[in-house]
Amino acid sequence: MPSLFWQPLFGAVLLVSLSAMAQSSSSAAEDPLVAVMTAELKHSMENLVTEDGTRPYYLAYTITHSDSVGLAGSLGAVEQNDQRRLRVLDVDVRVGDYALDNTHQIRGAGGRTGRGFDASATAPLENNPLAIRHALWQTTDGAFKSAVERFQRVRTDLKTKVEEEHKAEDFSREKPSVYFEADAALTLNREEWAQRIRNVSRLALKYPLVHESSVMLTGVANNRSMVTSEGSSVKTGRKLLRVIVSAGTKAEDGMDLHQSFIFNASSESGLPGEGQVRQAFQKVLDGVLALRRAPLVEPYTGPAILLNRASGVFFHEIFGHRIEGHRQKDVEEGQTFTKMVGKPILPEFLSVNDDPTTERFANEDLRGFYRFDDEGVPASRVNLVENGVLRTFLLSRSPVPGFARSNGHGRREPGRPVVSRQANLMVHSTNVVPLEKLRDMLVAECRKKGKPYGYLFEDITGGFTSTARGGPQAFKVLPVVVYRVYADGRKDELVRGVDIVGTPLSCFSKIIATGDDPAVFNGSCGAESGWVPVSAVSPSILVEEIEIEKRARSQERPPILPPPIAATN
Amino acid sequence: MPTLLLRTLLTGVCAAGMSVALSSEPELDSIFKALNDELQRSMSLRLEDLDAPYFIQCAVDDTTIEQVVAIYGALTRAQPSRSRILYTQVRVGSFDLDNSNFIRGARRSSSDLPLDDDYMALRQVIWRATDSHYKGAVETLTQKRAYLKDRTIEDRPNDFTRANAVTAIQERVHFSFDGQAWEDYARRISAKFAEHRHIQNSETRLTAGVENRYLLNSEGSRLRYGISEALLRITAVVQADDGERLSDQLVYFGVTPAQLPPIDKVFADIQSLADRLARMLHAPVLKDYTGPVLIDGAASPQLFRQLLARGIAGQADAVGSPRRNVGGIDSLESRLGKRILPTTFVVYDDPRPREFQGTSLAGHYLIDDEGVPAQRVDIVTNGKLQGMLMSRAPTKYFSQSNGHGRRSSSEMPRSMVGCLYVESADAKSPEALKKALIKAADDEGLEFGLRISGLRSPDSRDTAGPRSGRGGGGGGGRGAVGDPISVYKVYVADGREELVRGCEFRSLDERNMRRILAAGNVSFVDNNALSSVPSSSVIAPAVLFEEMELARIDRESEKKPIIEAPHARARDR
Repeated sequence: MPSLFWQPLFGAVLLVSLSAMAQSSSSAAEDPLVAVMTAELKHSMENLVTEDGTRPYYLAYTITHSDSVGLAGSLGAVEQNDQRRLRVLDVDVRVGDYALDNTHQIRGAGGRTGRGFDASATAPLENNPLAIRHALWQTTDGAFKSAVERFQRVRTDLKTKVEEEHKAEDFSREKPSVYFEADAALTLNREEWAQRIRNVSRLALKYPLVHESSVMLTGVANNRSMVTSEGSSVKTGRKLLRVIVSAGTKAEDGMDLHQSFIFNASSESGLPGEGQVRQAFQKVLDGVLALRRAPLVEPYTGPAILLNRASGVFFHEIFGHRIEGHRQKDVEEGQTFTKMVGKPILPEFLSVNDDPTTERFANEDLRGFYRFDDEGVPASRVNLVENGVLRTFLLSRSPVPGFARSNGHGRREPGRPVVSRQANLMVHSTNVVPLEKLRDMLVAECRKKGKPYGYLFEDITGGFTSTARGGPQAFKVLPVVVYRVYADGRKDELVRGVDIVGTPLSCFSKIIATGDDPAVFNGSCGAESGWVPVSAVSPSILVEEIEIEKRARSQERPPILPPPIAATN
Repeated sequence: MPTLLLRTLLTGVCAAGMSVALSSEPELDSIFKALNDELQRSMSLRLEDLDAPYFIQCAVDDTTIEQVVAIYGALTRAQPSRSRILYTQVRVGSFDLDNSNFIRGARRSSSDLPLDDDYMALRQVIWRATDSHYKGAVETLTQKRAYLKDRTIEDRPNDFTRANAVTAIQERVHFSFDGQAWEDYARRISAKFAEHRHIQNSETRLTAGVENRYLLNSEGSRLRYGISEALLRITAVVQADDGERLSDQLVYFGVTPAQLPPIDKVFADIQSLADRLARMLHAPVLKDYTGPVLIDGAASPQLFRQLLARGIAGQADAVGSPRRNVGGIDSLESRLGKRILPTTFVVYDDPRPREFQGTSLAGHYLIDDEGVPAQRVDIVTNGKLQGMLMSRAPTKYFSQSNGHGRRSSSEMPRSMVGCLYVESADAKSPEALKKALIKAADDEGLEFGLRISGLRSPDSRDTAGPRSGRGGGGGGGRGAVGDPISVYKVYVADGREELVRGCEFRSLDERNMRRILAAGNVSFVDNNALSSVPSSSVIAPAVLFEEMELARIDRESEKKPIIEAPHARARDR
């Protein structure tokens, strides 16, 4: 059962730029890596043939060069200081034809992407033609043989099983793309950042009740070179940087409590200064202490507000994953929306699009930005829901009945097979009220229902959702900052131990109104094709009824001895 | 992050000494002080009326490692890694019965310590780890007592044994590694393989590192010492026409990278490796064989490692283990006092000497991972099994540690090999051994005998091969034995040798050792270093087995690549 995680916090791995990588050149044709890839691709297409004459009809090489840094510190000391260079090679080879090929689902066989583990490898870090060609050659041979074998199984499966419910071709026809971008390179000064991390993380020495805390910087420059047998040649460079402050402790009853804040940027100049990081860290430290004193919740059903960023996570999780194209043709999926195109699935005042071509929103860099997807298809804005009515899905080059072309949403983490994924999910509303008004509406809703209080969700770390047919079509999101908003006008009260649970279809119908405050949640989303950077933009939403349950909690006691910080202070 | 275990540089520690005199008191660093101060405080840990700790040990491996990997003239990896890992051990109860050695115990992992030498930040992590380990220990002991209440276990040994406190504080070692020079070294070595068209795949992997190790316990042991290791491993793979993949390696061990061979020596060795693989490629396949086998060269210590190393490690069964065979299925405990080798043989383990006839020993150390000084252990005398390698966990037969408690990654220390020596009082020259092989074959009425001079490690996968089929044969039984790499028919008629391929051992285990006919007068060293288990060495002479069974490897081989490898293609581009 695929559970999908949308999580800004864990996941992210840390890598670094030592040296400048490939010498930059001004076009794809001159790029030494692309040139070697193109030559070996041509050689492979000409010579890859089995004894019975089977040849690939499509071959693509992608090499993703990642330079990354990871720095972390706690209590004034650096805990981690890594840099990494990595090149991952992906070979996508197809046997058969566009209508039916080796990637076709074999029902009941698992491994739904139709690609073996041998289609990926690490590639040489240096542009030595022989070494690069050797890596390409070796991986190609294995991937091609697996593809031939799997295509045989696909044909047998079609003959032995019942007719397929949804018929669609296996690979869409697209115009080749040719595009060249100069290398992206990290210019972080690690020593300066290490010192900044020491300076800021030292703040936690004053918080003996906070058992763990960290200040972290991660940065990665991904330079992706892609060539295909259809004539695409695409090279893109992109940087993703983050500063993450977090703190955690245990409540007296054993519950583990965490808070974090993340700064995102797509260039070094967009990173926060030391003062901003300090301020955010202080807020997180104070926040986790406040949580420690907050009362535990009881299960509850009733009205609630999800603040903008929390609402973004909510839409990503509950809506976004269910409109990914590949889920519409996979017989093991729940297919909540497969037959809903042209029908209302959200309140009329809501529209949703996914737009990877937007680089920034309200001065924030969007992590889901890209120009070409991982199949070399140009990114495009997709209007998924217009005035509440479902229009289309997020599509890779794996067509869905009724949708023959990709809309540039085929994505992967290097080393994984491509599937359709979200990029920048944006929620628009025509039923907009100021946030204060939205609160008033929440209170009114509570009174109407005879509830003493409603909930306000300020921050959500992430969540997961199950879309498989075998399990319940349910979701859970994990809020960290939650307030009770009392109907009698008492001050809002911070609470802890809350999870939001529910089923998607019933949830959407209960959105009453939205705020005028769209904001960005930047995160990393994990699914079949690995971790990809994503964003969600949404205003705050008022929901007529939401269900919350008590969070599972650790039964371990807080530490027995006082922390060394307190013991020596 | 996997910890790589490194080799000791500890100097000036007297051989069997209990405590070590130091010429001058080195300065104590923040890690040492933080461990010391937090350890003192931790002994007062107490949860209501539950058991208090009777023993706490904190160990830190402060490691810097460089790994450089190259293929065909380009680096595929060049990465330094830095880690400081804290290993905590908290024992509650008593030496007789504590929370260790129980199958259902709460498992606690190691912790990462800050890289900065910051006393307070270090202490904070040590505090949290000790607290968590203590709670786990109390919980486990409660479960274990409840389990034992309902069961009788005959002769259950104590869980832990006493040891003297040892103090040895050495200067910290610093890592010096000329990255550019060694990267270039690896590139140039890997580029050599472009000249060998028959070699399908190759990899050059250089790993070097230093580790500053700390160990402090509540009995008063205080250790700090540095170790260092360097390893160059070159792997090459060929594929025969019938699909069989054949791989061979060159492995060089040194205490520091400077001890690795000069590049010209490596080039020469690559040439012979390439020649050997070329011959192997065209060598005939060996059909089933039963008869005398001369285990020669590196194959001998490799074979003894695979046959003996696990069996001679004394290890009590964990309480609650599903099977209660004596000492577990791999142990030779049941053979104590019985003959396991010909009477001319002695086997002992002595980690103290750092070299054997000029070769550095990876398994050298002076104090083990429980703070016990390394000792020589006589394992086999006059062919009889007399002793076992012991950590501080007693068994039914041995109650004291002999300094062989060693830790792999986050596990509790267990008894393991350091430097294992196999010797025979009746040693023959190489020529005499070959004659003995021919005679033994002749006596059996065979046309030829076999000489094997290299083994694959049993768990090794061809690092350079994309898919290597099954990882080594051995026909099951106790600790599988790796497939032979270099196998020669030695003809009875004229002593001529012919290389063959494609075979594996069938039903080979330590019982075969009883039927060794002769041993050589030259010893070979097998060093195992920088892997996921503690480094070790085996030193053994060539040995002639009266009978071994080998069989054709029955595996599905993948076809050869459809297109020729880039370096093997005609140079028309």
